[in-house]
Amino acid sequence: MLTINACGEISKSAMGVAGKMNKRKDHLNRVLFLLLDNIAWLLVGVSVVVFSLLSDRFLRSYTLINIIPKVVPIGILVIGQSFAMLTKHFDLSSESVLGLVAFSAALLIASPELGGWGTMLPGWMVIVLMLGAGVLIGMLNGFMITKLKLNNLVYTIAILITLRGICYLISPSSSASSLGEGFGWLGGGSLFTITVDGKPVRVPVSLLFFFLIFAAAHVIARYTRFGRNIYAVGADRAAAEAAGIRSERIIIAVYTISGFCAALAAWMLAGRMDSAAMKTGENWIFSIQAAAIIGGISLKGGRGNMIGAMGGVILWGVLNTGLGIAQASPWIIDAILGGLLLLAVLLDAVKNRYFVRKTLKEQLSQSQVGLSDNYLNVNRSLAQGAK
Amino acid sequence: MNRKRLDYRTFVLDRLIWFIIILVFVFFSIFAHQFLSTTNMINLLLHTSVLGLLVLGQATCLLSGNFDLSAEGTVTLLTVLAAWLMGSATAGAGANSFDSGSGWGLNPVLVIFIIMFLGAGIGWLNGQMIARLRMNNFIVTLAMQLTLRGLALTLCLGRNIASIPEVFRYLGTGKVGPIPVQVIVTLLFVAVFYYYYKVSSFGRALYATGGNPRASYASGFNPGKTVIKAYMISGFLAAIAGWMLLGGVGESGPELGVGLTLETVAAAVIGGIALSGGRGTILGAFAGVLLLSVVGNGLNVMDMHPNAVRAVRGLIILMALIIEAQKVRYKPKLVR
Amino acid sequence: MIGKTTLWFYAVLSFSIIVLVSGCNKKGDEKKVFTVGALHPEMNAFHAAIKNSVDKRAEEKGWKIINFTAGVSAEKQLDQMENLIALGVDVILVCPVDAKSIGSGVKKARDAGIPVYGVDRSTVGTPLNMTVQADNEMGGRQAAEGAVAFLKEKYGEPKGLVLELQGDMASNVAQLRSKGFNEYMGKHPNVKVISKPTEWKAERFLKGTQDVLGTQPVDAIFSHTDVIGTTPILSALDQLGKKIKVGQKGHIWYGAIDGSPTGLKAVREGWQDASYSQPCTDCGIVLDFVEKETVKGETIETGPFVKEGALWSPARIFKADNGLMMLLATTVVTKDNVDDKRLWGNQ
Repeated sequence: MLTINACGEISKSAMGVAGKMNKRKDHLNRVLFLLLDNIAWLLVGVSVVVFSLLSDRFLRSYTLINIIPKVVPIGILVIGQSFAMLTKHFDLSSESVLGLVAFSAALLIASPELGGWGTMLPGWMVIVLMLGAGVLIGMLNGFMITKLKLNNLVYTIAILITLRGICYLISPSSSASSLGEGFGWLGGGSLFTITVDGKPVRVPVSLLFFFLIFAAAHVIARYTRFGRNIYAVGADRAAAEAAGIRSERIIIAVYTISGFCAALAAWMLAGRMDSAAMKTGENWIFSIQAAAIIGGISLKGGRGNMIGAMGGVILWGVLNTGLGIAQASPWIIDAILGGLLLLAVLLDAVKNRYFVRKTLKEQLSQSQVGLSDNYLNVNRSLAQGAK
Repeated sequence: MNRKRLDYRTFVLDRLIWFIIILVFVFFSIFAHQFLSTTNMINLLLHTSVLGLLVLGQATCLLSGNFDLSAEGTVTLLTVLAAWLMGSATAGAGANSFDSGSGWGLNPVLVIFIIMFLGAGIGWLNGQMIARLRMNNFIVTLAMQLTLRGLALTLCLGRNIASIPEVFRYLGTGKVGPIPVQVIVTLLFVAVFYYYYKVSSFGRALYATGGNPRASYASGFNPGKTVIKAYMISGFLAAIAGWMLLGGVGESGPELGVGLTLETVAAAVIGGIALSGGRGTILGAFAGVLLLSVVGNGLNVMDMHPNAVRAVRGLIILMALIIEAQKVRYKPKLVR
Repeated sequence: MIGKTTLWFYAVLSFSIIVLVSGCNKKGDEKKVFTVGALHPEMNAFHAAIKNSVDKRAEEKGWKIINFTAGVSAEKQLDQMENLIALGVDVILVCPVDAKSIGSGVKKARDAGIPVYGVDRSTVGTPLNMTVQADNEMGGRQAAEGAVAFLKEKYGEPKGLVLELQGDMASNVAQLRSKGFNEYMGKHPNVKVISKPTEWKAERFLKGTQDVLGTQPVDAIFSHTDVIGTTPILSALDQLGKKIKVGQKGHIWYGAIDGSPTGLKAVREGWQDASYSQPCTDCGIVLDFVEKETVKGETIETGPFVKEGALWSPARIFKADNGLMMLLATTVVTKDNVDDKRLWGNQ
């Protein structure tokens, strides 16, 4: 099969073979692709401008500071999902992992009057349990998918249903709240208070945490050996295996990261809401997928980066808050998200076709085989779409 | 001697789902009080009808190697649209009533044709995006589902429209003797599709496309057209399922149809449709629905808490998935 | 490494955003109108009636109102609460999706100096300034009384099997309805109650009724809502061949809370025995208390609250652990008074 460079950049030597005309065209293409690859940030810019025109309330410090804290839990799930997608796998179960972990943590902490089980464990102990549970669930998912060779899409959907079912099963039919200052500090606490126009505005801890965790994810994906292996497995698993990478291990690790991220997001969300219910996180898959794909994480695996994914999350946050402030109907927000997702998938498909064609051309120009070679012809007809 | 044993094993493996259904059925007949009563048996068939139609569409798409997650969005949008088109603005009582539609009061028969047409149209759109623009089928249909539900909510503003004409409701509430019309219609559809995919050239194209698109292209089928047609069938069946569901429940709302997609995928997988495409039968997919319904109804009759039923169903899907995957790995060993 | 071109791209992008945004960042005229923000959980006939009533009162007072609907998601409602704070409203009315999860949002509004009032549903654990809601426990009790009276007439003593189709038990009103109903039923040990949660979903009303009535000899059905519940329940009875008019042999008693147009229609046509009408068109009265407390700075007295000619009168105001609470009485609607013009389902 054809492999594509992790960063999506085409090697210079191949361009040298092509003529002068092609060079100019390539330059144009590169600019175009720069825009396409960073479409999330471009859209963030456009929407910020549009919303400031629509409402004079958008450019207030309170509004701006609270855009990102609203999407921190989704953002952390997007990190987990992006790692999985880079290896050409999906983890659709993360919203249920988040729900189950957050809800059982709330049940363990809250007092019986406020819906808890009455164990009233201290916050730090519950946090350790949560993260441990997330890692275990993720690891289990990875093992099942690699060792039993299950289809990852349907397996994670089944886990999604099962865990949500367990969530409903353990519930005393109502939510649990009042989880304590210490537990909620990361998700709902504030770093310091600034005064704007005589009104105090709190700066949430989660704002800082958001950037920290995306930076960490970026470093792992880009600058470590493990990160490079993830890209290699996603781009071409067989080739990676041939190069001595143990792909099963990478995939298990990726699912473990996703489980850990789900538990972390659960902690953030429960802290922010100071409560959790059996429905916590229901129907979030769409937002998570949308943010990751708009952020340029390719569905074909092996392409995309965490900075782009962060752009996708921030875009979702800006749209969410901006449309709310502009008093658009919440259902329009859903429809816009759906439309954006479609656009992102279309862009992904266009990019993929371009790269396949490009690489084919390079192979043709370099190969000794005649142009009428059967194998290449079949490949090309597939690449152009069987019409 | 050896050959005989091999035949017996493949026979059981191919029909595993039916053996499981019989086992579960016997279990509930013994342990669930009144499970075998006539009314409950009819109830059981009622539960299979809407899901049964949807799974036909889902199975068709899966056979061609693609997911269709948009069907539940289609159901939601089309039920809301149908109720809205047929509603008279002054149904219910007075100015405060939100129990109203467009005020056009369109003829139910016309409305049925409109929603069937739109259902197929949505399928066509899905197919175009997937076959022509080569977009990822899973995400495209997921986004489609979201968009359609957003449209449905915008259209009905969350209202429940309950003024559905009797003519329209006949499919959902009518009866022939003791057997509901919707059960008969569903069984008819299953039989027709089973037969159609066995004998027609479209059926062969479907299996070929799902099995190996390259080979199917080489042997003269058109994979793109086949995929588009599969999605159109799925959308069309979703429209009929919506018609049936709206007739049965009697009021439209933004919640109608939500959560059906995962069940159809699960049922199809349990019934032996391979997710990679090209393997499995329509009858098997329907058996998957039957199993889910028997378990759901049985546990409900045993007066188990609905929340527990949810968890148990998830576990059953998980088990079926594992068994299916192991079956695929086990079979080549047998043949060897 | 991030390429040079990419860095240039980000630099140009952020620069142009700053230029464009600072160009349009002129503060608009400070608004003088008193603004109310209202958070609704969903928008069915019932909640629409509440919204209309609040809208009407606000218009009478010359106030501006901003409505948000959460689509039954507690997380979305919290986001919307923050949006209202960002919009700088003067007071927030809330009908919580989840009685406990809304607590952190209420605290945030308090921090920003915005008072919060409850309409139709209240909170658990976090006090509000005041809540105006229908007496849901009373509705549940009235339904239990109706069902027991029917069973007494049928068997000569209160015994039999009753199906209770509950709403979403995360909302405090469903809990109260269930509490009122089951407390009264608890006094009659021979009456067995089967409870099925439905999460306010039509399909689950249909399936729940089908599955239970298909296998067990149920004598009476109590539904937590007739906005959503009535049509699917009657549809299920029809399919089971048990849809028989009130007063005829084999009739299954059916009562439901809300008193929506759908419910009143069913009562009028003789399919439903009773509807327990909530005074949701009068929930807008909360704005009178907002005016009194927040605008004029007076205190609200506790005790009975009487208004001549209103169906919900006498209401009572008392201090509960989640703030001041005003409970409006529910009305039993049977065939005798179904055409009363004061019922919200008839307006």
